[in-house]
Order: sequence, then structure tokens, then C-alpha cells
Amino acid sequence: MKKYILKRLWQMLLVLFLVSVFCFSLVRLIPGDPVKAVFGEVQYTEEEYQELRSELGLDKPYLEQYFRWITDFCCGDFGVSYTFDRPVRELVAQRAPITLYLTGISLVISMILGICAGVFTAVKRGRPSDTIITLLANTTHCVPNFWLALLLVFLFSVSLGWLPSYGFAWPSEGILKSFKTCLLPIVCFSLGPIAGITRQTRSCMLEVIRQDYMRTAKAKGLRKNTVIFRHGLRNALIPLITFMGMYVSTLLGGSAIIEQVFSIPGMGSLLMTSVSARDFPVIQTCVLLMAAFSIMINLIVDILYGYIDPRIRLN
Amino acid sequence: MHLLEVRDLQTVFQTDGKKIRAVNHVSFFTDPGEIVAFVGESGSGKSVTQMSILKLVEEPGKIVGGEVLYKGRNILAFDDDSPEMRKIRGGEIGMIFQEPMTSLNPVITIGKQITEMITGHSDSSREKALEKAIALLKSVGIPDAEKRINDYPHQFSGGMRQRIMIAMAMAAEPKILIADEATTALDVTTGAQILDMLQKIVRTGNVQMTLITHNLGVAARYADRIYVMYGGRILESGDAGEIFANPLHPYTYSLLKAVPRLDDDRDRTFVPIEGSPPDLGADTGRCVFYPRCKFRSEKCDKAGEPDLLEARKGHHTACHIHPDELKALFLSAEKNEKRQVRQRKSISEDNPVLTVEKIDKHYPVYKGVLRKKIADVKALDGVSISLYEGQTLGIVGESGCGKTTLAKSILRLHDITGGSIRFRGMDLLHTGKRQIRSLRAEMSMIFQDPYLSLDPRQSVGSIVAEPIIVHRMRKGKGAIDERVDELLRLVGLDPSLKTRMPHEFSGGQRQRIGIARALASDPSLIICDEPISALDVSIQAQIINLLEGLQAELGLSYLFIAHDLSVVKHISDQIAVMYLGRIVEVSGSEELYNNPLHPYTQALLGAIPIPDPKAERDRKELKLQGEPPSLLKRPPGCDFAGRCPMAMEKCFREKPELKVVDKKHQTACFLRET
Amino acid sequence: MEKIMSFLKNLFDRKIVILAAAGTLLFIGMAIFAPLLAPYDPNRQDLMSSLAKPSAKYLLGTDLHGRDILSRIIFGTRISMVIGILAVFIGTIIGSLLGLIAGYFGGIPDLVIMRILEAVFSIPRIILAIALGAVYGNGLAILAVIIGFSTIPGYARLIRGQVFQVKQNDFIAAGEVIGVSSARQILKHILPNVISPIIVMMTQNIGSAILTEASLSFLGVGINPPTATWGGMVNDGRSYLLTSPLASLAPGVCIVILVICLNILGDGVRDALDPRLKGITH
Repeated sequence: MKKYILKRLWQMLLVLFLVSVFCFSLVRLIPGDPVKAVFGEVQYTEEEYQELRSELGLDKPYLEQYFRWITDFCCGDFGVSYTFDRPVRELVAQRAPITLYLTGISLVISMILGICAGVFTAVKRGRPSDTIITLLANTTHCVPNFWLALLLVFLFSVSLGWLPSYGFAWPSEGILKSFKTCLLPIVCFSLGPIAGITRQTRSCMLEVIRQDYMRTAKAKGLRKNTVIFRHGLRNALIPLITFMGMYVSTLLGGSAIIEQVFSIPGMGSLLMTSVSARDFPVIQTCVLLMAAFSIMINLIVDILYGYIDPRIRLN
Repeated sequence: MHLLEVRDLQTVFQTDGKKIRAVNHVSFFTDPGEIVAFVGESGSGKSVTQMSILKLVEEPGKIVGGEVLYKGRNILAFDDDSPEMRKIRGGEIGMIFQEPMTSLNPVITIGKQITEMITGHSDSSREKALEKAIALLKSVGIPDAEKRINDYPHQFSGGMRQRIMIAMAMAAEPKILIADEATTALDVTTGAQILDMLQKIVRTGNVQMTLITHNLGVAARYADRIYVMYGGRILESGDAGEIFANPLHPYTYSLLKAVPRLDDDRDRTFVPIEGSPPDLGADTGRCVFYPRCKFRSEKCDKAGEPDLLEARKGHHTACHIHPDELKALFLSAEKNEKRQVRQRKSISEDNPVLTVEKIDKHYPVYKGVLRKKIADVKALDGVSISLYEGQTLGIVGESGCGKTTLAKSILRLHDITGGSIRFRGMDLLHTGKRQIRSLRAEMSMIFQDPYLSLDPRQSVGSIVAEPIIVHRMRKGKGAIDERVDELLRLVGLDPSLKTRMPHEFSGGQRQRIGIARALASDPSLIICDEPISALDVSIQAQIINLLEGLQAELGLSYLFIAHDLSVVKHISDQIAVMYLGRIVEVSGSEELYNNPLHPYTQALLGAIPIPDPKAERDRKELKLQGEPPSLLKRPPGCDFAGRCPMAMEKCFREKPELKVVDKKHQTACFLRET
Repeated sequence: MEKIMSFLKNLFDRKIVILAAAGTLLFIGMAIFAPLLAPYDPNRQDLMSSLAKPSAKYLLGTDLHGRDILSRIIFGTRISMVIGILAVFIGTIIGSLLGLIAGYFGGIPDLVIMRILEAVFSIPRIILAIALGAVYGNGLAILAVIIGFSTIPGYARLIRGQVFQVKQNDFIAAGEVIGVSSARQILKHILPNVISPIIVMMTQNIGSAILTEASLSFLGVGINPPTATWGGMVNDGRSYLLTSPLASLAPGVCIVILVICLNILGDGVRDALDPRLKGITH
């Protein structure tokens, strides 16, 4: 197991390195002059141009630029935002917890509901309850989350006026207020993953149900529920776990949209503001941090995977 | 009252609008303390019959009729998840399945899997159950049971897993034990150990055991009574001795004639059962064996499906032809058969096609983050063989002995570590890539599994044409087509079928396609890697006869790799026995059977049951314990010393070399050195 | 030909698939014949009737600038369709190629390809598209390339796994014994055996590519206004949800219906190509 984790760690570092190269190149890849691109339509003097150029480190060789950038980054110096005129680190420190809070809750909710629904439909395969839930999951899978968000806002905020249509409040600012502001975003975050996890759990479960050891368990005279949960679910979880990293990634991506719709001051809306302002240090940081986070989740998933599957743990 | 009585059981599978009658009006009984064997080929319904008893048939299968009386109570009437049914499953009737690799849950420790069986069927505490589980594991021969109870299935070998399966099945002390092809996936020596153990359990515990098997030898060695199944029906039943000595159904008779026996005369020709297994979706209203029956009469065509009737005391058969009439028919068939004496080919011993000298194949083992090489796994260790023109060399050994590695080395599918391979005098290891490519036309291969060895997306014609195209043996589409037709005819297939896809053919036909492909490049050497072990018994004889015919006609040399010694003995001129990557004995085929010198060869021969209870009773055999050691832990002395009942002190210290004992008989054993 | 017929027969075995195919065809027709079908020019501004309610003149009403919503929806179909199909082609071709190479050769090529793809995969798809969009600007072709690029790791992983599986089969070994070259092995024996999962994933991914495009256009990093796109229209109508909800809701409904049709079709194709899977996943 230790060897396995070490191997994963080593691979993770490699991937992190590649992502950092990608994020670094992002600014350098801008067609034409990156400095001009940063200015966009803003008028600038030659002096300002040179200043920005050296500030971006563009006057040095690429390798040196990368090393400076990455060492700064690792030390927590993410550069300075042009639009906010503040260190990117401060911006991130303020906004990342909100995104993590919302996506974290959504992940837990979607895992629980998705797995339950998936197991249920697999066991009831072919019955009306399976057909209905599966149909529902398939439909939900096709609804874009920005539109779903608008629909919910239209229904619960605009028409019924039950919930606020924008904003965010921590539970410390009042449980009820926090609940009211977070409810719709969390629903928007979760519905897609719930549908996806339901579909995947169902197909993993159906695959597991056909296995020989399930027949063995049944032939032992175990209760149907024991067979399904003790013998089936644990095996079905193994392939399912690998999808978890993917969902974290989807949720983080969704934050760009949902935070935008609900005006939540998280990482996603920060990224979108910076994209429209062409605030490259912020864009770089957001992309790299999100990628780093999803890589880390994947590492945890891999370790969990090894824990659940003894064939990996003990080899 | 019988312990278990099944009356008129019917199970169907409904797929794509077709109704497959997998179990068709089957009735039988079993009594305490007896071993009953259900013999049949794949698709005969022998497994589904037993699954139906416990209502374990999964969708789309369904039990549509009949009764299963266990101690007089119809258990089919119980609800699937009812306490009564669950008590019978495992508690009264235990089951052991075929695939020990997949039948145990991979994520639960074996201890938990056994104890849940105990606690589920009794009110014993967890600690008590654990104690009992350890005792059970010990009784089935798992070393270090206390320590290994918390291990997972993948940490055990196939044989060990099957022992664990047995321990689990016995955990709730059932009255009936059903073993569904329990040793088919295992090596012969391991399988024999497991079956011996099961037999002991039955004899000492007054348990009834049902053996489901396709292997007539297994049935002959262990069973008291036998049911022969074919096409979802029981065709014949009776005492084991009776069935083998006096088969009263044409199917049983033909099957016995079709399978090679270890104690056969080498010149006996097999009489294959022509045709393919029946299509159970079609209701012909005739005897299921009718289309393939050599002895059928007009009566069989019109009289409907025959019932299973008592022909002699305790001996039932389902055939329209009167037993006495059948006997006469069988007798005249035998006379006919004797007239066809197999032609012996003449072999020139001075013309070697293939010479393999002291080849090694080592796989490095790495350790640590820096991947430092710590050891070599010697998959092949100094293997030498020679194969002469027109000859067949059989290579036998159990899984992991290196026989397939040897084949791959000869075909240069991977690099070898040392030694030399010469093909027709040409050094294969020091030839350029281009020459190797042209040599590939000279050597070809027939694979084990006809389902995996044919590209499912290519038509049969294009599969057979591939070597012709790759080696540019014929130019132009017309010439290639002509050659493909010729090849298909040669292997007994209708050339008009060449536009069909592989999945439209049966296993035997697919193997013929594989043979046609192997012949396409006009090779002089064909490596046959277990070419018949994936086929049904009744089909095997067809393929063996085809291979022998082709050899006589085309002057081919075969390297015949197999684990089934009865087949190898029949087809080979010379046989090499392998153990753990080394050759332990080489000799002429007949000589090896009559006078095996290496204790491993003796044990291997002894482990193979003969489909004749009388012959079985007279055999002296060397019983083997344990399993081959891992290649990673090759012992310092003789590889076999740890399992050898005759091992001397020297055997544990030194490795014996392969030495000539007498004319054309070599063995690597200190016992034979003087 | 026979194979195609039996595939079509299998495909249209279920009524729902016929319905989905009809729906998809309808949208394709809308995209092709947009100029003929749309009552108005999608960018024609009728400032007198800004935010008009549905009427005989404007069947679905108008937006803030007085543009006909129906016409914009019809023209928006073009963008969705073109990007969806283009992106999927780009993703499939590059992804399958990388997967084939990684799977067939294994070793170093596999290691390098898979690590790079893993890096790309670790960035959330939409974020990756946003970041690339921010850098490369937002033309139709560039957007298609970006969306296609973000799907490469998915294809490559799938194909690599499939190739690994196919490679285990003896018929590949049989080819080696015969002396078949690597190129022939890949083209003649491996590709035909992994083509059905590629087709299945393609049909299933058109829907998700359309969703990604819509999301990007919604966020304003997709196609530039004033070009009519469904995602962009949903965004434009956001501020007037109370007064004219159709401006936002109608294009959204179109997205959902088109994606549902495509996904059902995709599942249908999967079932028709591999009957063994029927009913296991839905």
C-alpha cells in the first residue's frame, strides 16, 4: 500500500508539473503580443508597455520566467490582479472557501442520493420505479445547469418570492439566511451529478449482480439485502469511486456558471470577472488552483480505491 | 423416501423471442452417502438442473414446471427470499462452483465469507464461528489457517480457493453437496487432490454429493450412479459400472468411443460424433440426439421424444431402439472400426525440423522506487527439444510450467535470455527481421480458444486469406480466393461459407477455420497450443482426426502443447514433460506411459482418471500433495523435491540434469542415476 | 450493406429512438433551412416592439432590441449543430489516435501520452474552455477546436482501454505469428474492433459538446454577440425574466430537447452496435 501511494504521489507531482507548464504557457500563448493583449483596448504609453512587460517577466528567457513564476507560486505569491489591484492571494483566500463549501456540500449530497437511487433502480430493474427514476436521471442529465438555475430563480425567487435570487451567506451569518441563499445554488450544483451518479451506480450494480460471487452469496442462503449490500455494493463502489474525481472536476467547472447566475463571490465568478477583464494573473491562478485541487482529490480517490479494493492494497 | 427427488423439472430461457428449453422434463433422485454424477457437454443442461433445485437460475431463465422434493417437501414452493428457502440454500444443500477465481467475493476476507455462512445458519457467536472456520480451513488443507483467515481470495492459488469454497460449503453442515465442474478450471494433479478430499468428506460424513462434470473419467473414478444429460434431457441413468460397461444409449456409447483414454492402444482411431450440439430453441418433436445419432431408425423419426424407461434393473435409457437391438448395432460398429487401422507414418530421425538448445527465458524482478533489479524469474530454464520431419512432439505440463512460453519463444514472439533455436538449420536468434518475417510462413500456430483467436470483425474468407496476402503467396484476387476455397475444403468446411463471420460458427467449426489459417502459408511446422481443450468432448475427436489426417497428407510436423495426457499420448510420437520451466522427462509416447521414470510424470499419469470404473479400480497411483512452488521461490535442489514422496537428501541440494537413461528415454531425476 | 441494414433495424427497434431521430432531424433541418424558415432576419431590430409579448407577428415575442425570438432560435440551431459536430470530430480523431498509439504500443508512448492527458483532464472541462477562450478569442472554429480539445482525454482513455482489451485476444497473437505488420494490425484488426465504442461515444458526446457551447455562450466567452446562439439568448433574457420569460426559457427548452434527442439516439446506437449491453445502462 505504501508503495502504491508513493507511486501515485510521484505521478501526481508529474501531472501537477504539466498543468503548471500549461498555465504558464497560457499567457505566453496569446496570439500576437501578450503585453498588448493584456492592455486590450486600454490606451497605454511606451513606458507603461515596458513596465508591464518586465512585470510579466517577458523580457527574460522562458525557462527563467517559468522558474520564477513557479517558485513564487509555491511560496504563495500568485501575482497582483490588474482589475482589483490587490494580490491574487488575498482574492483567492477570500473566495475559495465559498466555492469549496458549496461544491463540498453538493458532492456529499449527490453521492448519497445518487448511490441510493442507483442501487434502488438496479435492484428494481425493469419495474416501473426503475423506468421512472432512470428516465428522470436521463432527462436531468440533458439540462444545462445555467438554464436550470434560471428556471429555479424564475420559479422560487421571481414568481413565488420564497428565496433570494442572488447572494451568499455563511451559516455564521444566520442559519436561516445561509440556508435560503445556499439552497438554490446547491440544488443547481447537485442535480447533474445526482443524475450522473445514479446512472453510473445503476450500471455498475447491474454488472456486479451478474458476477459469480453474487450467485455464491445467494447460494449460501444469505438474505437478499445482505447479498446486495454486503457483497454487491462494495464491489460496485470500486469503479464508482474513480468517477468521484470527475464529479469534483464537474462541480468546480459548474461554479463558473452557477456563481455567476447567483452572484456568489466564489472562485468561479472571480474567474469569469477576470476573463472579461483579461486579468491574466488571476486566470492563471484560478485554473492552476482548480486543477491542483482536482488532482489532489484524485489522489485521495486513488488511495480510497486501494483501501476498498484489497487486490490493489495488497499488491 | 429419497433425500432429494426431482420430478419433471422444466427450466426455460426466454431470449429474443426464442424459448430455450435448458432443462426439459428432468426427473432424478439422490440418497444419503452416495456420489451421483451428472455427465454432459456444455449446453446439456446439467448445471441449470442443479441451479434450478436451489432456485438460483437468473433472468431470463425461469423454472416453468416440476417439483423438487427435499425430504418430501417441495422446495420450489418456497418464496425466493423466504427463511425456508434460505435455510435450504447453504444449510441443507451446499454448492461449489466451477470458477474458484470468480466465485469468491474479492473484497471480503475469506474468514468473513466463511463465518457469515456459519452465523447465518446457526446461532453461534462470532468467536465460535471464527474458531469453526479455522478448523474447517485446516480440514481442507489450508496451511497456516489461523494466520490466513484474514486474507483475501486473490492471495490464494486457484486450488486453494477451491478448498476455501469447499470449507465454506461445508460450514453449515449441509446434507447435500453439489460440485459444479469443481475441478475443471484446475490442474489435473490439484483437481485430483480436491476430488479425493470431497470423496472423503462424503464417505465419512454420510453426505450426498452430486458431481456435475463433462469429464467421463471423473465420473468413472468417483461416482456411484450416473445421469447422462444431453440437450436438456436425461438420456441414460444407472450404476456407474453398468453405464460404462454396458451403455444403453447411442449417445453414451458414442461419447465413450469419441474420447481418448489414457490406457488406450495408441492406434485406436477415435470415432467422432459428427455434427454440432442441438439447438434447444427448436422443438423438433424428436429425440434430441436424433440428428447426430448413427444408430437411428425410422421409428426414431416418427415416434416422438423417447421417455426415460427402465431397460434393466436400475438402468434407465431414453431410446426407441430396443436394448438388445442396440447391443447388436454397437457390436457391428466396433467390427467396422477395427478394420480401419491407422496408418503409421515413418519418421526419419536424422532430419530435425526444429532444434531448441538450452534456452532460457528470464523475467527481471524489480524492487523499490529506483526499480533495482533484485532477481530473475526463470520461466524457462535450459530447455532443449528436437522435432523431426513429419513427427509430433507433445509438450505436457500443468499451468505455469512454461509450455506456452516455450511456444512463444520458438515463434520469436518475445526475446529469449539464452540458448539457441534452429529451424531447418537456420539460427533463429541471429537472423534479421526480414528473414524472420519470411520464416513466419514456414511456422504457424493453432490456438486454444477458437472464440478469441479469430478476429470477430473479419469474414472467414479474409481470416484465412491473411497469411496468403501477408506472405504474397498468391497474386490476384481470383488466385487467393481459389486457395482459400481449397483450404476450407481441406479442413472440412464448405467454401461457400467464407463470407460468414466467425460468430456464426460453432466452436468446432471455428477451430477448423483456425487450422485453415495455420495451413494457408504452407508451413512445415505447426505449433498447436492446447487446440482441443476448449472444445466439447464430442467435438474433440473430430479435430484430432483432422490434425492427424493433415499430418499424413501434408507431411507436417507438430509441436503439440497440452495438459491432457490422454490426447497427447494419442497424437504424439515423442513427449516432453515440463515442470516449473524445466523438462523433467522425454521419451517415446508409448514408452512414457508404460514406463514413466520421473516421479512427477508418474503422479501426472496417476491423476488422470480413465473413463472405466473397472480400469480405475486396478490402478496403482502416486498421489501428490501440495502445489508447484512459485517461480519466484524456485527451490535450490530439484524443483519437484518438495512434493516428491521419494525425495532423498541430495534432491534438496542439487539440481538433477536431464540425462539419457536408456535408448531414447531421458529424465532429470537422481533416482534414475546409477 | 447488409450490416448497415441490420444495424438500422436494430437501431429503430424501439419507438423512442425513432422519435429521437425524428427530433434530431427536425433540428438539423432547422439549421440547414434557417433562412427559409425564419420569419425575420435574426438581427433585425424592431425597437418599437422591444420585449413584445408573443403575438401573431412575433410568435415567441421579441427581446430587448426588438429582435424576433423565434428567428433567433432557428438561426441559433446552426451554431449549436455546427459546433457540436465539429467539436466531436476534432475530439474523436485526435483522441482516438492518441488512444490507439498509447494502447497498442504501451510503454513509454503510453506513459507520456497518458500523463499529458491526465494533466489536461485535471482542469475542469468548462474552465479549460473558458481559459482557452480567453486567450484565443471566440470565433466559431476556434470554439469548436477548444471544445473538441477538452474532450480528447475522454476519448483517448476509452480507446486505450479498449485497445488493451482487444490486444489480449489471441487473434492479435495469431497476426503476429503470421507476420502481420503493426500498421496492418492496427488498421485491420484493432480499429474495426474498437470502432463501435468510438461511434457510440461520438453520438453521445455531440449532446455534451452542445451543452458546453451553450454554457460558454451563456457566460459570454462563446460566440460574440450579436450572432444568435441559444446560450447567449438565455443570458440576454435573464434580466427580463419577470416581464418576458420566454426570451430565456424558450432557447433553453430547445437545448434540452435537442440534447435529449441526441442522447437517446446515442444510447440507441450503442444498443444497436452492441446488443449485449442492452438494458444494462440507460
